[in-house]
Amino acid sequence: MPNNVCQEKTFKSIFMAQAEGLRNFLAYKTGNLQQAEDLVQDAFGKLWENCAKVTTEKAKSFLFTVANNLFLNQVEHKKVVLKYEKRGHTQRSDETPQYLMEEDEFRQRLAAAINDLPEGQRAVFLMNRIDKKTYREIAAVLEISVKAVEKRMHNALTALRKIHKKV
Amino acid sequence: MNEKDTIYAKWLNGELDASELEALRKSGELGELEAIINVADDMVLPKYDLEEAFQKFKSNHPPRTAKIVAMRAKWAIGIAASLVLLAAAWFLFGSGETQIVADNQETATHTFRDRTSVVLNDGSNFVYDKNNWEKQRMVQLTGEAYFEVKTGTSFIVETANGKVEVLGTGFNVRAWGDKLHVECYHGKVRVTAAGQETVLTKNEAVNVVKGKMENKSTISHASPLWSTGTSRFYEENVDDVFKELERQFDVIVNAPTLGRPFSGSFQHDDINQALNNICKPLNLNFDVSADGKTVTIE
Repeated sequence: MPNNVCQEKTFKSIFMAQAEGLRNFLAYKTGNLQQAEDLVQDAFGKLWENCAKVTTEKAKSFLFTVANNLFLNQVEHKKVVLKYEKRGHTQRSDETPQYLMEEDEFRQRLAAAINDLPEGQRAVFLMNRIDKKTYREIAAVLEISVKAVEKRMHNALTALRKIHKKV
Repeated sequence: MNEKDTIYAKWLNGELDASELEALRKSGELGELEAIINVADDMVLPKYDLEEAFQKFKSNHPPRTAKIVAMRAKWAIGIAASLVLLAAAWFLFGSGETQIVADNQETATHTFRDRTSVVLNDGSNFVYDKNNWEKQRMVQLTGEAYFEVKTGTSFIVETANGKVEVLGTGFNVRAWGDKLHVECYHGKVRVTAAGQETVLTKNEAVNVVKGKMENKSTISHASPLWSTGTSRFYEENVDDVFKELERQFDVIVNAPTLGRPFSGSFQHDDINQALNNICKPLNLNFDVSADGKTVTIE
C-alpha cells in the first residue's frame, strides 16, 4: 500500500498520531492553549494543501516546521496554562528541601519559573517532562542536535533551581 | 566524564556515573533538582479532544474538489484581451460547457448535483454541459477517471476512442493516446467502439487498441489501482508507460522511441523505484537529473 497523505484514511491516522504532540509543543511555545489548537488546525491545513508533495514519513517534520513558522508570525506570547494532577509518586530523595515551602507555593513558583524560561528551553523541558519525549525525539522534532537539547535542558534546570534560593 | 553544560540533562536521563551523582548530592544540587522534577512531573496540560479536533478540521477542509476551468476562455488566451472578454462572456452567458481538470501530480474529485462523482487521475480532464446535465448526463473525457454514478437517466462517457454507457455501476475508463481500457467493478457498462459493442459486468475489463476491440479479461481489484497509488500495465507500449510516469511524478522523460511492450507496475511515491521497475526488465538505463525534474533513458 503506497503512502498517500491525500487519502483521507492516511491523513486521519497522521492527525490522530501527531495532533496532540503538536498542540502541546505549540502550547509550550505560545503559552496559549487556544492559539496552539488553532495553529494545529492551520498546520494540518497546510499539510492537506500539500498532501501530494509530502510523504507520510515526512509529514511529522513538515507539520512541526510549518507550525513553528506559523508560531513565529504570532507576536503575543502568554503564560503556559498548566494544571496539576497528583499522580501519587514517591519522592526520590529525603533530602528534598520541599518541606521548607508549602507545596502549593512551590508549585506556583515552579510554574512561574517555567513560564519565565526562554521559549526554546521551556519547550524542551515540557516536551520531556509532560510528553515524555526522549532527547533524541525532541532533537528530531526541533531539528537541532541531541547535544543542543541537553544544553537547553541543563540551562532550564539551572534556571529552575533558583526558585529554591528566594524564599 | 560528562561536560558541565549538560550535566543536569544527563542526570535527568540517568546517564551519570556514581561519582558524578555523588558530587551532585554533596553540593546539594541533587535535592533541589529532584524537588523540581517531582513537582514538574505532576503538571499536565488540559485534555485535548483529538476526535473533536479532527471533526473541526474536516468541517473546515472539505474533500478536495476539482478545479473548474472556463472552456471558452482557454482557447482565447493569446488573442486580444477584448476577445478574451467576449469569449468569457459568451461562456458565462451562452454555454454551460464546463471543464474539470486534475493537474499533474494531483487527483481531483468532482461531484455532480445528483451526487454522481468522478475522480480524475493526474493530468486528466473532462467536459460536460452544465445547463443540459439534467436532460443528458454526458461527459467527454481526456485521460483517466473513476466514476460512481447515481441512478437516473443514462450516463455516457465519450472518449476519442469509444463511448462508455452506464447501466448503474462503478467503473474506470482509461483513454490515453489511441487506446481505451475500461474496467467494471460492480454493475454493468456497455462499451461501444469501432462499430462493435460489449457489455462489461463485475470484474471484467476490455481493451480497445487502434480502433479494434479485444476480448474481455478478468480483473481482481475492486477499485482502480491508480486510486491506491499504483500504475499497472499489461503488454503496454513502454513509450506510453513513460508518459504515465511523466504524469504521476510531474517530470520530463527523455527516451528514444522504443515501441516495446512492458508488463509490470509502479507506485507513485518513489521515482527511482518506479524507474527501476520499468527499466530493469527491459535492460534500460536511467538517470534522474539533480533537480529531479528530468529523466533520461538509454
